[in-house]
Amino acid sequence: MLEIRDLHVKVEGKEILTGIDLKVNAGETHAIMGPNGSGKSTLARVLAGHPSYEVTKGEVLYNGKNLLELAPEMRAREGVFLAFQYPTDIPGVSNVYFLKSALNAIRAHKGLEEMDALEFLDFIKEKIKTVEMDESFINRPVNEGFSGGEKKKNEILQMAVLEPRLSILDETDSGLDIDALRIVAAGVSQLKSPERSVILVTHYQRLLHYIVPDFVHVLMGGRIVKSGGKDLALQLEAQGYDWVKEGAHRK
Amino acid sequence: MKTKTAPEIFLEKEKCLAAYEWFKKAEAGKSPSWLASYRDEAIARFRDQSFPTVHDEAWKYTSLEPFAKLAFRPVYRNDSGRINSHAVKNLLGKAPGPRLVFINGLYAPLFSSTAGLEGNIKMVHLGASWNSEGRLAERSWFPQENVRLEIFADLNSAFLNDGMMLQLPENFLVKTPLECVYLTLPENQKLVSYPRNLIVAEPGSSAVVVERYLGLGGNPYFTNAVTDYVIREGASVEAYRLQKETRQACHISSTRVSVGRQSRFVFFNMDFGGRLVRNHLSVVFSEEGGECDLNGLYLAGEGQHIDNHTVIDHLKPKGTSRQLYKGILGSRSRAVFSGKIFVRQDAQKTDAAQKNKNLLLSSDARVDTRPQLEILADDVKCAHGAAVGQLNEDEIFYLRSRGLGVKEAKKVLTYGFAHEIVDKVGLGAVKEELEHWLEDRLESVAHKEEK
Repeated sequence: MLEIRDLHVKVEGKEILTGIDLKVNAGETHAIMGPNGSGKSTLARVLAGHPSYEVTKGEVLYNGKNLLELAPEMRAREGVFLAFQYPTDIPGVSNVYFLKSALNAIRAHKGLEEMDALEFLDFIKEKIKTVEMDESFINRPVNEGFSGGEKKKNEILQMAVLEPRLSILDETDSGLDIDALRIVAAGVSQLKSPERSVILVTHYQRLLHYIVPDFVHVLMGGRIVKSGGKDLALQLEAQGYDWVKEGAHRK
Repeated sequence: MKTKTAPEIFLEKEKCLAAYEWFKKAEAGKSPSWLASYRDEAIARFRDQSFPTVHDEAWKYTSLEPFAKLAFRPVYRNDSGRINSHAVKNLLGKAPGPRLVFINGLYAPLFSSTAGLEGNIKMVHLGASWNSEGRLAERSWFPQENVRLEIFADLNSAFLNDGMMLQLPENFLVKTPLECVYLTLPENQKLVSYPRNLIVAEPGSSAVVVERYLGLGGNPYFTNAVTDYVIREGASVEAYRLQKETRQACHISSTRVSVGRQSRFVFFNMDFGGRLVRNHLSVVFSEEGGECDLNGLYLAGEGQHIDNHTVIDHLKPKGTSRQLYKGILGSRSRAVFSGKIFVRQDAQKTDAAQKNKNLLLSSDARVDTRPQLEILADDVKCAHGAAVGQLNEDEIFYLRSRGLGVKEAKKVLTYGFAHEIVDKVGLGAVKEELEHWLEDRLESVAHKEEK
């Protein structure tokens, strides 16, 4: 589904990613872990097409297409979804209007008919239950005045509505209490299928108790320095990142 | 009217004075004497002033130049057959309730209706009511003249001919919105009209009033409108001013509001049309207490210039004023906001807040904004501010990352910017209409930016 080859990325003249190689097959869940400043969020945002990053080398193939050539909205329509670490407020635009516009843009791309307002309302009322949010959030402006946890749940709601093929969760677990964490995890698990893949970018192992990854990668200094199975995450939790760093240097 | 047609009017003093002489002769014996002297006094004030240029502080950012050399003709008789066209019918639609329609400045009974008017509300057109209702006009107008010397308002008073008079009876709560429409049809010639409204809300009364300004046709025209609101003790008025003139129009208006003791005035000023627009709004707190909530939304596209000058004058204690004006500016458009709040020495415990926010959608749009406070009392709460910004890149990316194209994302965000005002609109029909206008205009404004 996704293949990243020797990806180098600069932001404001500084190289943040220094050669990422990663392959994610359909149906797989990958966790990308690493200390602060290692480039995890940069990777997530580059995959979504954020304009402030400059790819200086390497390529990213998504279902055989050159992902980096696609505009952010085309990536979304092709099924790439980024759950933001810091979701943006959109004052004056209601959640329902926003989500309906987004879903219909994606449906139009797939050659499907637009969903009308009434149909969509029923649809979103079902979806909002899965993230245990109050129905009143449907009509509130996107993320405006939401608590940290509510914003993260709102990201998961969007994911549930848009049903992406590749979901990238950028530190969705940070700042969440146990209940919210459980809800977020359930939202992700519900979406899991043999056709869909998930990349979890996270600092802590906590989320991985709920969503068990097939692979765990350690990102340091802009590169993946170690990959392994789910046990690697436990080891990281027990021993921190320092031993990986030493290991990487020795290599 | 005499066989000769009325002389043309330029934005030149001598031409206006000559036109007045003609008008005075034509009106001789038809108007009550108080009205004749009212007009005479207005033209006398006019004579002492000059048409403003950009060298005048208050007109620094707004030039009348594009219209200065154009000759506009007033209309004193409408050809009813011609105005009964499909285009006009479509534009006006069916009256949603009591409505007075004026075409080219003259009352159009064909499109007007006062059926369903509740209780003893007086809703008449001035042209037919000078004799019966003159006292009310006389009583209500004269104090307002002291508010501010404004040359265009004086010109309107001098050529005062028709308009809407509305009186809400004491303690009467009107449920149906009351509406007036001014439509200009500059088909074969450039026209000028002088819309005039007087709304008197007697003590304890309450109503929703809608003013509309519309145009049809490709010729330039000039609308010079004045509306006076007298809100007496404990009365409450929610007023909408919906300006959607053609893009060839020059629209200059004065809205003068007197806020009485413990009364309330809510105002929505929506500017979507016009080529050159200048609105004066003056709200005077002449008695203790009272509150106003002034909302403005202006959307300027290619070649449009929209200027709002507002003055809120707290003369007496315990008044509350709120003002939020928001502007959206597309390619090669310009806007001006000048908002002055006076808190006079006597006006202790005044609570005033003013804000102007502008969204520039293009690098060649320009806005000049000047919120100003002048406080002479010492125990008051006042805040004011202005902002000029562009669409936020993070917000655009967020929407794009969910599948919305750049154009759609910008449109949605711009719509969101406007929604702070639209959300406050209490009248459902107007809210719906505004949403359509926005949808329509943002489509073309955003489209311009794509290129």
